[in-house]
Amino acid sequence: MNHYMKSIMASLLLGAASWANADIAVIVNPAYAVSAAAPDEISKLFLTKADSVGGGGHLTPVDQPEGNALRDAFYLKVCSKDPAQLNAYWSRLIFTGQGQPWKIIDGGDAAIVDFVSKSPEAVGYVSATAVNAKVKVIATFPE
Amino acid sequence: MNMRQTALSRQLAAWLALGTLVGGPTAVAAESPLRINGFLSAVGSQMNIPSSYGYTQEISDKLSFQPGSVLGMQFGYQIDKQSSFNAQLISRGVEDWNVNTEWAYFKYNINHNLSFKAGRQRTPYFYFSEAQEVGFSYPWVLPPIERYTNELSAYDGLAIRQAWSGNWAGNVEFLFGSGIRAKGQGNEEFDSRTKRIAGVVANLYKGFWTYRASVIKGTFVPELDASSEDAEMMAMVSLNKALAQTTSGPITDGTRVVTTDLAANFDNKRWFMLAEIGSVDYDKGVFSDDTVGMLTVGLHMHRLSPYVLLTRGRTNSEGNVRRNDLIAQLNGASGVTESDLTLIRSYTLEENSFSAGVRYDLQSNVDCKFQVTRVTGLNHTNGYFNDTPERGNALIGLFSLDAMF
Repeated sequence: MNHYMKSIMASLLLGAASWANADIAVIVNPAYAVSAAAPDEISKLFLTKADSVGGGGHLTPVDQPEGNALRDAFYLKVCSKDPAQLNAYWSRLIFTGQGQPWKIIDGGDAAIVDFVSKSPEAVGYVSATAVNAKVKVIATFPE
Repeated sequence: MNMRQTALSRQLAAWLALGTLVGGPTAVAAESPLRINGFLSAVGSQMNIPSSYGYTQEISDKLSFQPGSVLGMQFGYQIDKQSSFNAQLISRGVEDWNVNTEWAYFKYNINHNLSFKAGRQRTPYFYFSEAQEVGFSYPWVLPPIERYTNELSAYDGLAIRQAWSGNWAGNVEFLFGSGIRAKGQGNEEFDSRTKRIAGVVANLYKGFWTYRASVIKGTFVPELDASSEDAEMMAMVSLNKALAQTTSGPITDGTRVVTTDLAANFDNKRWFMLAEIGSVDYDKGVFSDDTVGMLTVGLHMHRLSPYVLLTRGRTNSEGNVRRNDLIAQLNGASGVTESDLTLIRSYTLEENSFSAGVRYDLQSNVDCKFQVTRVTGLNHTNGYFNDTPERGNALIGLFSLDAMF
Protein backbone atom coordinates (compact mmCIF):
# COMPACT_ATOMS: atom_id res chain seq x y z
CA MET A 1 0.00 0.00 0.00
CA ASN A 2 1.57 3.24 -1.05
CA HIS A 3 1.72 6.40 1.01
CA TYR A 4 -1.22 7.97 -0.88
CA MET A 5 -3.56 5.04 -0.16
CA LYS A 6 -2.49 4.99 3.50
CA SER A 7 -3.36 8.66 3.78
CA ILE A 8 -6.80 8.07 2.30
CA MET A 9 -7.47 5.13 4.61
CA ALA A 10 -6.30 7.10 7.63
CA SER A 11 -8.51 10.05 6.68
CA LEU A 12 -11.53 7.82 6.20
CA LEU A 13 -11.01 6.06 9.53
CA LEU A 14 -10.42 9.34 11.30
CA GLY A 15 -13.51 10.82 9.68
CA ALA A 16 -15.65 7.85 10.62
CA ALA A 17 -14.35 7.88 14.17
CA SER A 18 -14.92 11.60 14.58
CA TRP A 19 -18.47 11.31 13.19
CA ALA A 20 -19.26 8.35 15.42
CA ASN A 21 -18.26 10.31 18.50
CA ALA A 22 -19.43 13.72 17.36
CA ASP A 23 -22.02 15.66 19.26
CA ILE A 24 -25.17 16.71 17.46
CA ALA A 25 -25.46 20.46 17.08
CA VAL A 26 -28.74 22.25 16.49
CA ILE A 27 -28.02 25.26 14.31
CA VAL A 28 -29.82 28.43 13.31
CA ASN A 29 -28.95 31.46 11.27
CA PRO A 30 -26.61 33.85 13.15
CA ALA A 31 -29.30 36.53 12.84
CA TYR A 32 -31.67 34.57 15.07
CA ALA A 33 -32.18 36.43 18.33
CA VAL A 34 -31.86 33.47 20.69
CA SER A 35 -28.52 31.79 21.43
CA ALA A 36 -29.51 28.82 23.56
CA ALA A 37 -32.49 26.46 23.73
CA ALA A 38 -33.48 23.70 26.13
CA PRO A 39 -33.81 20.10 24.91
CA ASP A 40 -37.59 20.21 25.43
CA GLU A 41 -37.84 23.29 23.22
CA ILE A 42 -35.87 21.58 20.44
CA SER A 43 -38.07 18.49 20.76
CA LYS A 44 -41.25 20.56 20.48
CA LEU A 45 -39.84 22.40 17.49
CA PHE A 46 -39.10 19.25 15.49
CA LEU A 47 -42.40 17.60 16.51
CA THR A 48 -44.43 20.66 15.35
CA LYS A 49 -45.59 21.41 18.90
CA ALA A 50 -43.91 24.83 18.84
CA ASP A 51 -42.44 27.09 16.20
CA SER A 52 -39.88 29.07 18.17
CA VAL A 53 -37.47 28.79 21.09
CA GLY A 54 -36.68 31.12 23.94
CA GLY A 55 -39.20 33.70 22.85
CA GLY A 56 -37.41 34.19 19.54
CA GLY A 57 -39.03 34.43 16.15
CA HIS A 58 -40.53 31.72 13.98
CA LEU A 59 -38.32 28.77 13.01
CA THR A 60 -38.90 26.12 10.36
CA PRO A 61 -36.90 22.91 10.77
CA VAL A 62 -35.11 21.22 7.91
CA ASP A 63 -34.29 17.55 8.09
CA GLN A 64 -31.65 15.02 7.21
CA PRO A 65 -32.80 12.30 4.76
CA GLU A 66 -34.68 9.31 6.12
CA GLY A 67 -32.33 6.45 6.96
CA ASN A 68 -29.50 8.84 7.85
CA ALA A 69 -27.76 7.66 11.05
CA LEU A 70 -27.49 11.18 12.43
CA ARG A 71 -31.22 11.71 11.89
CA ASP A 72 -32.05 8.50 13.73
CA ALA A 73 -29.72 9.47 16.59
CA PHE A 74 -31.15 13.00 16.79
CA TYR A 75 -34.78 11.94 17.00
CA LEU A 76 -34.01 9.18 19.47
CA LYS A 77 -31.90 11.45 21.66
CA VAL A 78 -33.95 14.63 21.48
CA CYS A 79 -37.51 13.50 20.73
CA SER A 80 -37.34 9.95 22.18
CA LYS A 81 -38.60 8.43 18.96
CA ASP A 82 -37.09 5.75 16.76
CA PRO A 83 -37.85 5.85 13.01
CA ALA A 84 -41.09 3.84 13.26
CA GLN A 85 -42.33 5.83 16.25
CA LEU A 86 -41.50 9.03 14.43
CA ASN A 87 -43.45 7.92 11.38
CA ALA A 88 -46.38 6.89 13.59
CA TYR A 89 -46.30 10.36 15.13
CA TRP A 90 -46.17 12.04 11.73
CA SER A 91 -48.94 9.84 10.37
CA ARG A 92 -51.34 11.37 12.89
CA LEU A 93 -50.40 14.84 11.63
CA ILE A 94 -50.24 14.04 7.93
CA PHE A 95 -53.51 12.15 7.66
CA THR A 96 -55.44 14.68 9.67
CA GLY A 97 -54.09 17.49 7.51
CA GLN A 98 -52.26 19.09 10.44
CA GLY A 99 -48.77 18.90 9.06
CA GLN A 100 -46.26 17.55 6.60
CA PRO A 101 -42.73 16.28 7.26
CA TRP A 102 -40.00 18.87 7.16
CA LYS A 103 -38.14 19.77 4.03
CA ILE A 104 -35.30 17.33 3.52
CA ILE A 105 -31.89 18.68 2.59
CA ASP A 106 -29.78 16.24 0.60
CA GLY A 107 -26.03 16.65 0.52
CA GLY A 108 -25.15 15.96 4.13
CA ASP A 109 -24.16 18.27 6.95
CA ALA A 110 -22.44 20.77 4.69
CA ALA A 111 -25.61 21.30 2.68
CA ILE A 112 -27.66 21.85 5.85
CA VAL A 113 -25.10 24.29 7.24
CA ASP A 114 -25.17 26.13 3.93
CA PHE A 115 -28.99 26.20 3.81
CA VAL A 116 -29.33 27.45 7.39
CA SER A 117 -26.66 30.09 6.86
CA LYS A 118 -28.77 31.54 4.03
CA SER A 119 -32.22 31.13 5.64
CA PRO A 120 -33.08 33.41 8.59
CA GLU A 121 -35.94 31.16 9.77
CA ALA A 122 -34.32 27.75 9.27
CA VAL A 123 -33.19 25.40 12.01
CA GLY A 124 -31.35 22.14 11.42
CA TYR A 125 -29.11 19.63 13.13
CA VAL A 126 -25.69 18.45 12.04
CA SER A 127 -22.66 16.74 13.41
CA ALA A 128 -20.93 19.27 15.66
CA THR A 129 -17.76 18.90 13.63
CA ALA A 130 -19.57 20.34 10.60
CA VAL A 131 -20.45 23.63 12.29
CA ASN A 132 -18.75 26.76 11.01
CA ALA A 133 -18.97 30.49 11.64
CA LYS A 134 -21.84 30.94 9.18
CA VAL A 135 -24.34 29.37 11.62
CA LYS A 136 -25.12 29.62 15.32
CA VAL A 137 -25.40 26.60 17.65
CA ILE A 138 -28.36 26.85 20.03
CA ALA A 139 -28.13 23.36 21.53
CA THR A 140 -25.73 20.44 21.58
CA PHE A 141 -26.51 16.83 22.33
CA PRO A 142 -23.85 14.20 23.02
CA GLU A 143 -23.90 11.39 20.46
CA MET B 1 -61.51 -17.57 -0.31
CA ASN B 2 -64.32 -16.14 -2.42
CA MET B 3 -63.93 -13.78 -5.39
CA ARG B 4 -64.51 -10.66 -3.30
CA GLN B 5 -61.90 -11.67 -0.76
CA THR B 6 -59.50 -12.50 -3.58
CA ALA B 7 -60.02 -9.08 -5.13
CA LEU B 8 -59.52 -7.49 -1.73
CA SER B 9 -56.35 -9.45 -1.13
CA ARG B 10 -54.98 -8.34 -4.49
CA GLN B 11 -55.92 -4.74 -3.77
CA LEU B 12 -54.27 -4.80 -0.37
CA ALA B 13 -51.19 -6.52 -1.74
CA ALA B 14 -50.87 -3.92 -4.47
CA TRP B 15 -51.21 -1.01 -2.03
CA LEU B 16 -48.80 -2.60 0.42
CA ALA B 17 -46.28 -3.22 -2.36
CA LEU B 18 -46.65 0.39 -3.47
CA GLY B 19 -46.18 1.64 0.06
CA THR B 20 -43.16 -0.55 0.63
CA LEU B 21 -41.61 0.49 -2.68
CA VAL B 22 -42.20 4.14 -2.08
CA GLY B 23 -40.51 3.61 1.25
CA GLY B 24 -41.96 6.16 3.62
CA PRO B 25 -44.03 9.21 4.25
CA THR B 26 -41.38 11.64 3.15
CA ALA B 27 -40.80 10.00 -0.20
CA VAL B 28 -42.67 12.58 -2.23
CA ALA B 29 -40.33 15.38 -3.13
CA ALA B 30 -40.52 18.07 -0.50
CA GLU B 31 -40.11 20.79 -3.14
CA SER B 32 -43.18 19.75 -5.12
CA PRO B 33 -46.38 21.73 -4.40
CA LEU B 34 -48.30 18.46 -4.70
CA ARG B 35 -48.00 15.95 -1.90
CA ILE B 36 -49.48 12.48 -2.06
CA ASN B 37 -49.56 10.22 0.97
CA GLY B 38 -51.45 7.07 1.67
CA PHE B 39 -52.24 4.57 4.37
CA LEU B 40 -53.82 1.18 4.64
CA SER B 41 -54.90 -1.20 7.33
CA ALA B 42 -55.93 -4.78 6.78
CA VAL B 43 -57.73 -5.90 9.92
CA GLY B 44 -58.78 -9.45 10.72
CA SER B 45 -61.11 -10.36 13.55
CA GLN B 46 -63.02 -13.21 15.11
CA MET B 47 -64.85 -13.70 18.40
CA ASN B 48 -65.90 -16.71 20.38
CA ILE B 49 -69.68 -16.20 20.53
CA PRO B 50 -72.36 -16.20 17.80
CA SER B 51 -73.11 -12.48 17.75
CA SER B 52 -71.83 -9.40 16.00
CA TYR B 53 -69.92 -6.59 17.59
CA GLY B 54 -68.08 -3.38 16.99
CA TYR B 55 -68.09 -0.17 15.03
CA THR B 56 -70.36 -1.55 12.34
CA GLN B 57 -71.33 -4.88 13.90
CA GLU B 58 -68.98 -6.69 11.55
CA ILE B 59 -66.92 -8.60 14.11
CA SER B 60 -68.48 -12.04 14.37
CA ASP B 61 -67.68 -15.64 15.19
CA LYS B 62 -66.41 -16.05 11.65
CA LEU B 63 -62.95 -14.91 10.64
CA SER B 64 -63.39 -11.68 8.74
CA PHE B 65 -61.01 -9.21 7.14
CA GLN B 66 -63.53 -6.43 6.63
CA PRO B 67 -64.00 -4.62 9.95
CA GLY B 68 -61.63 -1.72 10.18
CA SER B 69 -59.88 -2.54 6.92
CA VAL B 70 -59.32 0.67 5.06
CA LEU B 71 -57.33 2.25 2.25
CA GLY B 72 -56.71 5.99 2.21
CA MET B 73 -55.07 8.42 -0.19
CA GLN B 74 -54.38 12.00 0.70
CA PHE B 75 -53.61 14.85 -1.62
CA GLY B 76 -52.20 18.18 -0.55
CA TYR B 77 -51.50 21.06 -2.87
CA GLN B 78 -49.54 24.08 -1.68
CA ILE B 79 -51.14 26.94 -3.57
CA ASP B 80 -48.71 29.54 -2.27
CA LYS B 81 -46.71 30.13 0.89
CA GLN B 82 -49.81 30.73 2.99
CA SER B 83 -52.58 28.64 1.45
CA SER B 84 -53.08 25.00 0.63
CA PHE B 85 -55.77 22.56 -0.38
CA ASN B 86 -56.04 19.10 1.21
CA ALA B 87 -58.29 16.16 0.42
CA GLN B 88 -58.51 12.59 1.59
CA LEU B 89 -60.16 9.69 -0.22
CA ILE B 90 -61.07 6.58 1.75
CA SER B 91 -62.18 3.13 0.74
CA ARG B 92 -63.52 0.92 3.54
CA GLY B 93 -64.07 -2.81 3.71
CA VAL B 94 -67.37 -2.35 5.52
CA GLU B 95 -68.62 -0.19 2.65
CA ASP B 96 -67.69 -2.72 -0.04
CA TRP B 97 -64.58 -0.70 -0.84
CA ASN B 98 -66.50 2.18 -2.37
CA VAL B 99 -64.32 5.29 -2.57
CA ASN B 100 -65.51 8.33 -0.60
CA THR B 101 -64.12 11.81 -0.19
CA GLU B 102 -63.60 11.78 3.55
CA TRP B 103 -62.67 15.41 3.80
CA ALA B 104 -61.50 18.25 1.59
CA TYR B 105 -60.68 21.72 2.78
CA PHE B 106 -58.82 24.92 2.04
CA LYS B 107 -56.31 26.11 4.63
CA TYR B 108 -54.97 29.63 4.98
CA ASN B 109 -52.17 30.58 7.35
CA ILE B 110 -52.83 34.15 8.46
CA ASN B 111 -49.44 34.09 10.18
CA HIS B 112 -47.17 31.40 11.59
CA ASN B 113 -49.48 30.75 14.53
CA LEU B 114 -52.95 31.61 13.31
CA SER B 115 -54.71 29.66 10.57
CA PHE B 116 -58.17 28.84 9.38
CA LYS B 117 -59.63 25.93 7.44
CA ALA B 118 -62.82 25.93 5.40
CA GLY B 119 -64.51 22.88 3.93
CA ARG B 120 -65.25 19.33 5.02
CA GLN B 121 -63.19 18.22 8.02
CA ARG B 122 -63.15 15.39 10.53
CA THR B 123 -65.01 16.27 13.72
CA PRO B 124 -62.36 16.21 16.49
CA TYR B 125 -64.59 14.73 19.20
CA PHE B 126 -61.92 12.66 20.92
CA TYR B 127 -58.13 12.26 21.08
CA PHE B 128 -57.87 9.92 18.10
CA SER B 129 -61.09 10.87 16.28
CA GLU B 130 -59.35 12.55 13.37
CA ALA B 131 -56.86 9.71 12.88
CA GLN B 132 -59.31 6.99 13.84
CA GLU B 133 -58.76 5.01 10.68
CA VAL B 134 -54.99 5.48 10.38
CA GLY B 135 -53.92 2.24 12.02
CA PHE B 136 -50.23 3.08 11.80
CA SER B 137 -50.71 6.10 14.06
CA TYR B 138 -51.84 4.26 17.22
CA PRO B 139 -50.76 1.23 19.22
CA TRP B 140 -53.96 -0.84 19.07
CA VAL B 141 -55.40 -2.89 16.23
CA LEU B 142 -58.52 -0.69 16.44
CA PRO B 143 -59.20 2.28 18.69
CA PRO B 144 -61.23 1.27 21.76
CA ILE B 145 -64.69 0.44 20.46
CA GLU B 146 -66.50 1.73 23.54
CA ARG B 147 -65.20 5.25 22.89
CA TYR B 148 -64.56 5.41 19.16
CA THR B 149 -67.75 3.89 17.82
CA ASN B 150 -70.18 6.72 17.36
CA GLU B 151 -67.90 9.50 16.33
CA LEU B 152 -66.77 8.65 12.82
CA SER B 153 -68.10 11.78 11.24
CA ALA B 154 -67.18 14.92 9.41
CA TYR B 155 -68.51 18.43 9.35
CA ASP B 156 -68.73 21.16 6.75
CA GLY B 157 -67.60 24.44 8.19
CA LEU B 158 -64.82 26.61 9.51
CA ALA B 159 -62.02 25.99 11.98
CA ILE B 160 -59.75 28.66 13.37
CA ARG B 161 -56.57 27.63 15.15
CA GLN B 162 -54.22 29.68 17.30
CA ALA B 163 -50.93 28.08 18.36
CA TRP B 164 -48.22 29.27 20.71
CA SER B 165 -44.73 28.24 21.77
CA GLY B 166 -43.01 28.28 25.13
CA ASN B 167 -42.69 26.09 28.20
CA TRP B 168 -46.33 25.16 27.88
CA ALA B 169 -46.70 25.15 24.10
CA GLY B 170 -50.07 24.39 22.62
CA ASN B 171 -52.92 25.34 20.39
CA VAL B 172 -56.60 26.03 20.59
CA GLU B 173 -59.07 25.49 17.77
CA PHE B 174 -62.60 26.84 17.43
CA LEU B 175 -64.87 25.11 14.97
CA PHE B 176 -68.29 25.86 13.53
CA GLY B 177 -70.38 24.02 10.99
CA SER B 178 -72.84 21.28 10.23
CA GLY B 179 -71.99 17.63 10.51
CA ILE B 180 -72.86 14.58 8.49
CA ARG B 181 -72.71 10.89 9.17
CA ALA B 182 -73.66 8.29 6.64
CA LYS B 183 -75.56 5.14 7.45
CA GLY B 184 -73.18 2.40 8.45
CA GLN B 185 -70.65 4.74 10.00
CA GLY B 186 -70.52 4.81 13.75
CA ASN B 187 -72.79 1.84 14.29
CA GLU B 188 -75.89 3.66 13.09
CA GLU B 189 -78.74 2.26 11.05
CA PHE B 190 -79.61 5.62 9.54
CA ASP B 191 -78.10 8.72 7.98
CA SER B 192 -77.88 11.67 10.31
CA ARG B 193 -76.88 15.30 10.54
CA THR B 194 -75.52 17.25 13.43
CA LYS B 195 -76.57 20.84 12.86
CA ARG B 196 -75.21 24.02 14.39
CA ILE B 197 -71.94 22.48 15.55
CA ALA B 198 -69.78 24.71 17.70
CA GLY B 199 -66.76 23.51 19.57
CA VAL B 200 -63.38 24.18 21.03
CA VAL B 201 -60.37 21.86 21.22
CA ALA B 202 -57.21 22.68 23.15
CA ASN B 203 -53.86 20.88 23.27
CA LEU B 204 -51.00 21.56 25.69
CA TYR B 205 -47.48 20.15 25.38
CA LYS B 206 -45.01 19.84 28.22
CA GLY B 207 -42.05 17.47 28.14
CA PHE B 208 -43.22 13.98 27.21
CA TRP B 209 -46.82 14.89 27.98
CA THR B 210 -49.68 16.01 25.76
CA TYR B 211 -52.91 17.18 27.37
CA ARG B 212 -56.11 17.60 25.39
CA ALA B 213 -59.55 18.94 26.23
CA SER B 214 -62.53 19.43 23.96
CA VAL B 215 -66.16 20.46 24.11
CA ILE B 216 -68.32 20.19 21.00
CA LYS B 217 -72.04 20.77 20.88
CA GLY B 218 -74.63 20.46 18.16
CA THR B 219 -78.14 19.33 17.33
CA PHE B 220 -78.31 15.68 16.31
CA VAL B 221 -80.98 14.89 13.72
CA PRO B 222 -81.48 11.31 12.49
CA GLU B 223 -82.86 11.03 8.96
CA LEU B 224 -85.35 8.18 8.82
CA ASP B 225 -86.87 6.68 5.70
CA ALA B 226 -90.49 5.69 6.33
CA SER B 227 -90.68 3.87 3.00
CA SER B 228 -87.70 1.62 3.73
CA GLU B 229 -88.22 -2.12 4.04
CA ASP B 230 -85.00 -2.58 5.97
CA ALA B 231 -85.85 -4.17 9.33
CA GLU B 232 -83.64 -1.86 11.38
CA MET B 233 -84.93 1.25 9.63
CA MET B 234 -88.54 0.08 10.09
CA ALA B 235 -87.86 -0.40 13.80
CA MET B 236 -86.46 3.15 14.05
CA VAL B 237 -89.45 4.59 12.17
CA SER B 238 -91.80 2.75 14.55
CA LEU B 239 -89.86 4.02 17.57
CA ASN B 240 -89.95 7.56 16.20
CA LYS B 241 -93.75 7.39 15.95
CA ALA B 242 -93.96 6.08 19.50
CA LEU B 243 -91.73 8.85 20.83
CA ALA B 244 -93.99 11.46 19.24
CA GLN B 245 -96.45 10.61 22.04
CA THR B 246 -93.95 11.47 24.75
CA THR B 247 -92.72 14.72 26.24
CA SER B 248 -89.45 14.04 24.42
CA GLY B 249 -91.02 14.15 20.96
CA PRO B 250 -89.79 12.32 17.86
CA ILE B 251 -86.05 11.94 17.44
CA THR B 252 -86.33 13.43 13.96
CA ASP B 253 -87.06 16.80 15.63
CA GLY B 254 -83.45 16.87 16.72
CA THR B 255 -81.67 16.56 20.03
CA ARG B 256 -79.04 18.84 21.47
CA VAL B 257 -75.86 16.90 22.14
CA VAL B 258 -72.71 17.93 23.97
CA THR B 259 -69.52 15.90 23.66
CA THR B 260 -66.71 16.51 26.14
CA ASP B 261 -63.34 14.87 26.42
CA LEU B 262 -60.20 15.03 28.54
CA ALA B 263 -57.05 13.14 27.62
CA ALA B 264 -53.45 12.87 28.76
CA ASN B 265 -50.77 11.18 26.72
CA PHE B 266 -47.24 10.30 27.82
CA ASP B 267 -44.66 8.95 25.42
CA ASN B 268 -40.92 8.61 25.99
CA LYS B 269 -38.24 6.18 24.90
CA ARG B 270 -39.49 3.44 27.17
CA TRP B 271 -43.14 3.95 28.09
CA PHE B 272 -46.32 5.22 26.54
CA MET B 273 -49.64 5.90 28.18
CA LEU B 274 -52.95 7.35 27.11
CA ALA B 275 -55.68 8.10 29.62
CA GLU B 276 -58.94 9.47 28.29
CA ILE B 277 -62.38 10.14 29.65
CA GLY B 278 -65.13 11.37 27.40
CA SER B 279 -68.86 11.81 27.62
CA VAL B 280 -71.77 12.32 25.26
CA ASP B 281 -74.87 14.03 26.67
CA TYR B 282 -78.23 14.44 24.90
CA ASP B 283 -80.84 16.79 26.29
CA LYS B 284 -83.76 14.48 25.48
CA GLY B 285 -84.74 11.39 23.52
CA VAL B 286 -83.62 7.81 23.57
CA PHE B 287 -79.96 8.08 22.76
CA SER B 288 -77.67 7.05 25.56
CA ASP B 289 -75.84 9.66 27.64
CA ASP B 290 -72.63 7.86 28.30
CA THR B 291 -69.21 8.31 29.80
CA VAL B 292 -66.32 6.15 28.71
CA GLY B 293 -62.95 6.01 30.39
CA MET B 294 -59.95 4.26 28.97
CA LEU B 295 -56.35 3.68 29.94
CA THR B 296 -53.59 2.30 27.76
CA VAL B 297 -50.11 1.55 29.06
CA GLY B 298 -47.36 0.10 26.95
CA LEU B 299 -43.64 -0.37 26.50
CA HIS B 300 -41.31 0.51 23.64
CA MET B 301 -38.94 -2.44 23.27
CA HIS B 302 -37.08 -1.72 20.04
CA ARG B 303 -39.52 -2.86 17.33
CA LEU B 304 -41.96 -4.42 19.78
CA SER B 305 -44.56 -2.38 21.65
CA PRO B 306 -46.64 -4.55 23.99
CA TYR B 307 -49.60 -2.83 25.61
CA VAL B 308 -52.66 -3.31 27.75
CA LEU B 309 -55.90 -1.39 27.42
CA LEU B 310 -58.70 -1.01 29.94
CA THR B 311 -62.04 0.59 29.08
CA ARG B 312 -65.18 1.21 31.06
CA GLY B 313 -68.35 2.62 29.54
CA ARG B 314 -71.56 3.50 31.36
CA THR B 315 -74.79 5.30 30.62
CA ASN B 316 -74.97 8.27 32.98
CA SER B 317 -77.58 8.33 35.71
CA GLU B 318 -79.37 11.21 33.97
CA GLY B 319 -79.60 9.09 30.82
CA ASN B 320 -80.99 6.15 32.78
CA VAL B 321 -83.63 8.36 34.42
CA ARG B 322 -84.66 9.80 31.04
CA ARG B 323 -84.87 6.36 29.44
CA ASN B 324 -86.94 4.92 32.28
CA ASP B 325 -89.22 7.95 32.11
CA LEU B 326 -89.77 7.38 28.38
CA ILE B 327 -90.56 3.73 28.95
CA ALA B 328 -93.04 4.70 31.68
CA GLN B 329 -94.73 7.18 29.35
CA LEU B 330 -94.99 4.64 26.54
CA ASN B 331 -96.15 1.65 28.59
CA GLY B 332 -99.68 0.93 27.42
CA ALA B 333 -99.76 3.84 24.97
CA SER B 334 -101.59 3.16 21.73
CA GLY B 335 -99.57 1.79 18.84
CA VAL B 336 -96.49 1.17 20.96
CA THR B 337 -95.04 -2.29 20.53
CA GLU B 338 -92.79 -4.35 22.76
CA SER B 339 -90.16 -3.97 20.04
CA ASP B 340 -90.24 -0.21 20.52
CA LEU B 341 -89.62 -0.60 24.24
CA THR B 342 -86.86 -3.15 23.64
CA LEU B 343 -85.19 -0.74 21.24
CA ILE B 344 -85.33 2.04 23.83
CA ARG B 345 -83.79 -0.28 26.43
CA SER B 346 -81.01 -1.15 23.99
CA TYR B 347 -79.74 2.45 24.14
CA THR B 348 -77.85 1.63 27.31
CA LEU B 349 -74.14 1.27 27.67
CA GLU B 350 -72.68 -1.02 30.26
CA GLU B 351 -69.47 -2.49 29.04
CA ASN B 352 -65.95 -3.08 30.26
CA SER B 353 -63.09 -4.49 28.30
CA PHE B 354 -59.55 -5.59 28.88
CA SER B 355 -57.17 -5.93 25.96
CA ALA B 356 -53.61 -7.10 25.67
CA GLY B 357 -51.72 -6.77 22.45
CA VAL B 358 -48.46 -6.11 20.73
CA ARG B 359 -47.35 -3.94 17.85
CA TYR B 360 -44.32 -5.00 15.83
CA ASP B 361 -42.75 -2.52 13.43
CA LEU B 362 -41.76 -4.54 10.37
CA GLN B 363 -40.30 -1.41 8.76
CA SER B 364 -40.34 2.25 9.68
CA ASN B 365 -43.63 2.56 7.77
CA VAL B 366 -45.19 -0.92 8.16
CA ASP B 367 -46.40 -2.62 11.31
CA CYS B 368 -48.35 -5.69 12.32
CA LYS B 369 -50.41 -5.97 15.49
CA PHE B 370 -52.09 -8.70 17.47
CA GLN B 371 -54.66 -8.07 20.16
CA VAL B 372 -56.94 -10.12 22.37
CA THR B 373 -59.90 -8.34 23.94
CA ARG B 374 -62.21 -9.66 26.62
CA VAL B 375 -65.52 -7.81 26.88
CA THR B 376 -67.31 -8.06 30.23
CA GLY B 377 -69.62 -6.11 32.55
CA LEU B 378 -72.60 -6.15 30.18
CA ASN B 379 -75.07 -6.75 33.00
CA HIS B 380 -77.70 -8.18 30.64
CA THR B 381 -77.36 -5.28 28.18
CA ASN B 382 -76.18 -5.32 24.58
CA GLY B 383 -73.10 -3.17 24.94
CA TYR B 384 -71.78 -2.91 21.41
CA PHE B 385 -73.13 -6.32 20.45
CA ASN B 386 -76.21 -6.57 18.25
CA ASP B 387 -77.94 -8.56 20.97
CA THR B 388 -77.32 -9.46 24.59
CA PRO B 389 -74.69 -12.20 24.77
CA GLU B 390 -76.06 -15.11 26.80
CA ARG B 391 -72.82 -15.72 28.62
CA GLY B 392 -72.36 -12.01 29.40
CA ASN B 393 -68.88 -11.79 27.98
CA ALA B 394 -66.92 -12.39 24.82
CA LEU B 395 -63.36 -12.94 23.70
CA ILE B 396 -62.25 -11.21 20.51
CA GLY B 397 -59.08 -11.83 18.54
CA LEU B 398 -57.84 -9.04 16.29
CA PHE B 399 -54.82 -8.62 14.08
CA SER B 400 -53.77 -6.05 11.53
CA LEU B 401 -51.20 -5.02 9.02
CA ASP B 402 -50.82 -1.24 8.76
CA ALA B 403 -48.75 0.83 6.40
CA MET B 404 -48.26 4.44 5.46
CA PHE B 405 -46.52 5.75 2.38
